[in-house]
Amino acid sequence: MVRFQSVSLRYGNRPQVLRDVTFHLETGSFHFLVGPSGAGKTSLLRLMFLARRPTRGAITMFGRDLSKTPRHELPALRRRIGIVFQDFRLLDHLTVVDNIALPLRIAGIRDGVVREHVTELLTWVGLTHHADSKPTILSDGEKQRVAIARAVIARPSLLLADEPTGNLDPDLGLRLTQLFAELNKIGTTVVMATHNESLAVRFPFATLQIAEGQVTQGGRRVAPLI
Amino acid sequence: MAVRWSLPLSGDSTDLFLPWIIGLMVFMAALALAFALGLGGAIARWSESHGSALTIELPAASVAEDGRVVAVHAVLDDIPGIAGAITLGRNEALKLLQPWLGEGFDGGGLPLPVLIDVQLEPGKTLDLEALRTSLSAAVPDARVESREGWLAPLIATADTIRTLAYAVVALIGLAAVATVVFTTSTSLAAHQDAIELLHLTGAYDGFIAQQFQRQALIHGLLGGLTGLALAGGSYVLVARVAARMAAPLLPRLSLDPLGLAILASLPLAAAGLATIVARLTVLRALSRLP
Repeated sequence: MVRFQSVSLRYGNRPQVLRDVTFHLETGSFHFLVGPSGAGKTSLLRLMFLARRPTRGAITMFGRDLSKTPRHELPALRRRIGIVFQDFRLLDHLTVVDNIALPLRIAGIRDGVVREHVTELLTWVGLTHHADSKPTILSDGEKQRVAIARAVIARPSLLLADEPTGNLDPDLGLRLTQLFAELNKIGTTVVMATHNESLAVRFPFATLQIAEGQVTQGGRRVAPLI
Repeated sequence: MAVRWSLPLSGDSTDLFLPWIIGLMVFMAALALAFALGLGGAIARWSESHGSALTIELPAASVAEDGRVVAVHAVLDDIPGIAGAITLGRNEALKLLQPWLGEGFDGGGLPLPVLIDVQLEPGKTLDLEALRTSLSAAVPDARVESREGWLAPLIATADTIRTLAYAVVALIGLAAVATVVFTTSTSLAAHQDAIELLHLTGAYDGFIAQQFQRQALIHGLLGGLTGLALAGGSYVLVARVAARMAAPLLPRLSLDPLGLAILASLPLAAAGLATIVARLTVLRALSRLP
């Protein structure tokens, strides 16, 4: 599903934020990406959701070598990835329904199908009563559920969540993580970044530890080199 | 529907700013273009009248004019390159004076010179000095007036002014392009987060650009129609004032149907230009994203 091989990343002339990162995520796996703030979790996720290209190294996603994938083919790959941002990134001028429907509308899905999927997702995240509300009147927990619904509505193969529980109370954080676990059960590969290791240990999932720009697992470096 | 919804462009500060700027530019461009097109018509009319290249003037005199006119025609008949010569009657000569002396002027007892309008064969040039020599031998007081002498510099000057007017239109077009680039870039910066969200959600560059170009199209049409309406009003006002002025020396800057059609298409041109520039600006900005 996702393979990083000797990947490095730096922003401009600044020091490297990721150094020689190598790992492989199997299809259908669930990984917590843990590490202190500033360790490089968001940078690693940005590489995975194709917001940046690495400074060095090779990334393979969905069997495609990204360095050899032309730019105009990347949107099709991005449509296979769902992203949940820490700051939700909801569009305040759109209703909850329209925010959730965004990936399908971008993909050019017809309105009838979009409505059907949105209704299903609204029920799943328990926000049917807020269908026509604007995000500005929602609580953080409700916003995060809208963001999750938007991330999964197009049935992505890979779900990436960047500190999705960072703005939520522990109970809500736990319930949201359980939502991700449900998605994983139906075959979605999940990577969830969190600095809350106590949350991660409550689930039987693998952990990617990131520190000083390098990725390890359980204290061991994750380096399943080809 | 999706295109309309994705970015909140209609709430932008540029939403109010751009239509008025485009309106002002179309207003100025329409006036400059109307002037250039009108001047072009005047130049064409002058050039057309230039076809009868010269006039022979016989001063009003006590001697029998018929004899002088016949003598002039006899000289002209022997000169190659002359297509024909017409002697203007008194009424036609009076008509030539009307722009300066008024419509009702009947000449009274004023002695008028005899004018002979000489038509040249197309493409032929005449040796004026040889003509003058031949004429002065036959009719000593005959005076040859070539229109080329005063009309050519006038046409050249008018042509230069017309070129300048077109240059002004082109400069206004460039300023409009710069304005659309600036406002689109401002809008791109204002909606950076939303654009990145669309990009990461799998939107193609064209999908995002389409929203900006649609907005630019609306702004261009709104501004263009407003500017054209203002220019039309100004044109009518100036035409009314000019009609009340007795200014026969000023060229008549009327517009033919083609000129009017060109002016009427300015809002479409402005909208088209704004749309294309907005699209290219957005595509260029998005190309920097991975």
